Amino acid sequence: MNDEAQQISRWRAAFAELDAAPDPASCPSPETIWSAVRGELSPPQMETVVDHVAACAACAEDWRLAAEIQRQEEKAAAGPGKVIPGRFGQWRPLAAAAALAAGLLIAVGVYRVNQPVQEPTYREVQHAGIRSLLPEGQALSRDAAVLRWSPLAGAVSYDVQVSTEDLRTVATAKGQTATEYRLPQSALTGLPAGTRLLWQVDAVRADGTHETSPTFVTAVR
Amino acid sequence: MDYEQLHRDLVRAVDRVCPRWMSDRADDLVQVALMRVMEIQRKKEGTAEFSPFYLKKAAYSAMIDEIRRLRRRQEVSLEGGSDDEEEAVVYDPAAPTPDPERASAGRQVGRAIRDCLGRMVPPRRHAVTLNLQGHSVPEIGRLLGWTTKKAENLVYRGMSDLRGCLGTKGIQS
Ligand SMILES: [Zn+2]
Repeated sequence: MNDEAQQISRWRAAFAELDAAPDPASCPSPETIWSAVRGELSPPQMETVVDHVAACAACAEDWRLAAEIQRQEEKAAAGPGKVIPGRFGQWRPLAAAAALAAGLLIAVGVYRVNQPVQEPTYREVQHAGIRSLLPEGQALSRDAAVLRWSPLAGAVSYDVQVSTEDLRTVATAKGQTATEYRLPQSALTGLPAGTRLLWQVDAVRADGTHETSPTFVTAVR
Repeated sequence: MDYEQLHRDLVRAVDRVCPRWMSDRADDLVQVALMRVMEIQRKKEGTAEFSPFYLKKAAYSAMIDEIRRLRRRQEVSLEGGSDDEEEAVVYDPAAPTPDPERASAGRQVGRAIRDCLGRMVPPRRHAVTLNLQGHSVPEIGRLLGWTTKKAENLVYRGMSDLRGCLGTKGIQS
């Protein structure tokens, strides 16, 4: 570890040292912290929560707990042995999308309506890179279930993760060089017709950095 | 919903994140939280369908309520000495960490960091706060609706602000 990394880890430890909440009455509810960690709040709400976390060691701990629970979820979704150390959090939007699919879409919809035009919602600006090339609203056929996406400049390979809405892993593929992935038929057995699949592509560049796509939702026939 | 799995997951999270004095009680803490969630579910049975996502959030929320209660008691026992015998025994102020002096020094630095964060311009404060919370730069970008490049830039500038501010408080590293 270099000096700077050591310094940051010392500061992180000090920042994590529990201290009394300065004003317990102003602490956000646990539900709000949970939603913030999952990226489900509007930017102004998010900033309010992060500002509070900056000043309140107790809520900072509550935040880290929610983040840790989410990390465990992601590890479980990735399946045993599939998690690459130091990369947790990569699939975070998948969990957020699943939560959205579970009923939070309406809240986001309302938020979008109320949002001034000049400020695009953060969900849209998150990933300018990879797009799904599947025709919108068209369900995948079981015997030719091929996921396709737009290439990302500089990417040397792609990792793909596919799960159900309750985050059970359906299939994963690593090191794909093509910008498409055929789901093994066996992966789809047992899934009822109309099942919505969440899928996400992680583009890996030559220097080892990556860029994760938004979570796409596609049904199977 | 697999409550046993949920129980295990929550206990593991408390174990990893919380100080010793609290993680030692993780089992009870989570048990109380899950019982509360099951109670709510029982009461509403038939009138609503609960998704695993909803139940997980509800369990987290009930657990945080318990944790907040526990923290308040810990504060009381730290401040009030032993006027409440039972509290003093259950939440022994000597027990929080094997090295109270070091913890207290860490707490001082933690306060200095929070003070410095309060002086930063908001975007840098947000970037540094999430960085100190253990989030990676791409995660920070995603959470705050920034490109990774913007997040990287703000973390970099913010950390340099923090270094300078802590320096004026006599905290070098
Ligand atoms: Zn608070």
